[in-house]
Amino acid sequence: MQHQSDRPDSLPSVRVLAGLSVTALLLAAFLGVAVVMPAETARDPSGLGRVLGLSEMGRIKVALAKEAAADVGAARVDRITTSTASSTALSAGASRWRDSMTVSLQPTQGIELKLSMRPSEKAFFVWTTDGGEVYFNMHGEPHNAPKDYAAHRYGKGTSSAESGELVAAFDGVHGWFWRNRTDHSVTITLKTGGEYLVLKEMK
Amino acid sequence: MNVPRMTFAAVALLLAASVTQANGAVRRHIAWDGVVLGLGGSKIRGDVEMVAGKVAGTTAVEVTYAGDAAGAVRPWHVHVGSCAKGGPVLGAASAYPTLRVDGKGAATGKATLRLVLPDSGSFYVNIHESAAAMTKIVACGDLLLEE
Repeated sequence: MQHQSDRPDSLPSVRVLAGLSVTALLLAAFLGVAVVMPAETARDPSGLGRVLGLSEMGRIKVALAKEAAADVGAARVDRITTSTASSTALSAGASRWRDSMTVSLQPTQGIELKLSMRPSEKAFFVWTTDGGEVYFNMHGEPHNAPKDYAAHRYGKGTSSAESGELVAAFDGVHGWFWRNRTDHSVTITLKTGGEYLVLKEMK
Repeated sequence: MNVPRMTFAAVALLLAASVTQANGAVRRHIAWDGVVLGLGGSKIRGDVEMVAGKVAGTTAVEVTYAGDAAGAVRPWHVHVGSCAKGGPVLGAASAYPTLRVDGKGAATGKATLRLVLPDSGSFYVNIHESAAAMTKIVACGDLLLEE
């Protein structure tokens, strides 16, 4: 019975409860802007996210989300095959390959296919044409690099087939630009495997 | 109630800042490339590439070709315009070091221009016969934007 007599005195008033509720809501809003927003979206209007390292976390999340949602079904891409547990599109003999992409280029047309990779990740690749040589420029740049960024060069030349390993020099997108310099349509088939997040067409 | 008021003011300021924060558009990395072909019976064939320089605000150009006369010394420049129509030199003409063709008929030239890499327009590279015969073009190549 002692409890019943104490309870009315220990309960806060309605005015105090309302004040605390408003304070809690505002605090939640503050945390949303100062903590959750930079951590989830990389937007950091308060600057606190940068201090706490949350902006970097958000940047990584955004980059990964964009990569995952990247439109790899571009009109110029004729066929994309991604190996999954249920996929049988890639033959068992070619199981080292994760992705296969086939593109057709008209004369003077170019295309850029890149792998999203973290530093030192190692991917392997092979690409061939259905006849004729194409100009290629194998390079990489950070995610969302400015358009006048000086890309990291892995190699360039003119060839009808290339293969090898690609070790990412930094966090970003790394891959190939091809241009058809012949006077007829050329089809390029790229196969990739190893360590990378996603293969996509750059636009 | 001072604490809630102060919190509200802080949140309002933060929200205002978030609204005014610029949402920078993602810009795609760009580069230019082209094939260099001999003119007037020349067997020259090669590549030209124009990309952003390592130093901000500069443009790097590289031309590589084969099929030329061994020992030849060739001035070269990137121009605004096209092989068909011509145009002025892009940047300072003095920024383009003269090409020296090796014993196998190959040559490579690099130039760094003090200008931001163009993201539009028309450009071409030409290889001159010699410093004494600048009007004679032995090879030319239009640049295409990698997009």
